[in-house]
Amino acid sequence: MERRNTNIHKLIIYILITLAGACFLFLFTYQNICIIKAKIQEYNYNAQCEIYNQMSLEYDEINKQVEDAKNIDDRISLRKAEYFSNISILEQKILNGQSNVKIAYLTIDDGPYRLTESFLNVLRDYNVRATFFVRGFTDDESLATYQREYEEGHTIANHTYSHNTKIIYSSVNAFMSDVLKLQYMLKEKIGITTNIVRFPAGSPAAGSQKSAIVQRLVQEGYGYVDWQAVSGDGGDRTLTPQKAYDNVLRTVGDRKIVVILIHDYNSKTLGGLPNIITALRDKGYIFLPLFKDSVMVQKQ
Amino acid sequence: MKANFVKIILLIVFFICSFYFFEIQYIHARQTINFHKEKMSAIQEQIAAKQNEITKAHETLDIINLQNAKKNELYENLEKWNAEILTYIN
Repeated sequence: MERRNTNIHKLIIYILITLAGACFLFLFTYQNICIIKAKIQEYNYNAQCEIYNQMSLEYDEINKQVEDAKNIDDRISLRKAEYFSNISILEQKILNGQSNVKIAYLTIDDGPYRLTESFLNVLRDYNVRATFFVRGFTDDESLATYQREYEEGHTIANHTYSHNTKIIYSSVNAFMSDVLKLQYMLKEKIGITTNIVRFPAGSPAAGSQKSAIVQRLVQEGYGYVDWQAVSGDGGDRTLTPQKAYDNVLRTVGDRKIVVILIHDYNSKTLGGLPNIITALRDKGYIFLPLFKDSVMVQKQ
Repeated sequence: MKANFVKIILLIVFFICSFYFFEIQYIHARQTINFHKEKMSAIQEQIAAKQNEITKAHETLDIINLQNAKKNELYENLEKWNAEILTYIN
């Protein structure tokens, strides 16, 4: 009887040990599954964080590009300043006889006209940068022309808003208000600021008021420029492309740095322009856009 | 008989301790899972939002680049023209 009880006790103990072992094994396995799950979750979370960080960097980079793109006008201004500064150095070298290159500043007055686009096409085809002394027009076509002149690297300069010599030369204030009217219009519509003026009909046309006007122009940050060479398209009704060519070549002469005046309303000048460019290049001239610090722009 | 009783007690104690130990581990693991589950849904929302921002920024950049195509060309050309002037200076 006692032996039987002992066996029963042993059996109970074995059963309990087996049960405890099974429970132990179950809990151990389940707990480990949970821990593995937690580790996987943590790994996935860290991976997502890494993706988010990469995306943040990408977003910052794109935003920087957007800001750069928005500041294109500032970046162009900086690059133009560097370009003009180097032209200034070249001018000094030429004047000091340290360079055989000659500079032609082609200046085109009075536009925009319908023909201006054709002038721009010739300049583009011949890889020439010029200076457009413009008047004030606010129609869509003219605004598009100003824009194209700027975008193709030409200098846009101020030729007064109205170009009405009777009005602008009536007083210093009349002249200045006409200049500033064009400046504000170009700033508002195109986003550019002019700093070179050409007096309509040339600075002598201002007569006795010239020095007072120049003083005011300088106060407003302007320089002014006349010209040394012409195509003769201002009033010559007998002008032909050949005559325009001859006039320019004759008046340019052998100058080291020259400002040439033509008008973008004249189809005869337009016809002669390719030959004018080619001939002057053959004579060693390079065509550049005018800038305020050029030796050809007067400041007093 | 006494010895067997002690063994049973020890077994029960061992069982309780093990259970308690596993329970702690299990609770900790569950907390970690829940914690990361919440965080995960939050980070996924943030990723989706960031993706939207990136898409919009790309669109903005494309529009600006399209509008500024000519100006970008001018910017590139200025470098070229400047290099030409430098050849004359040097």
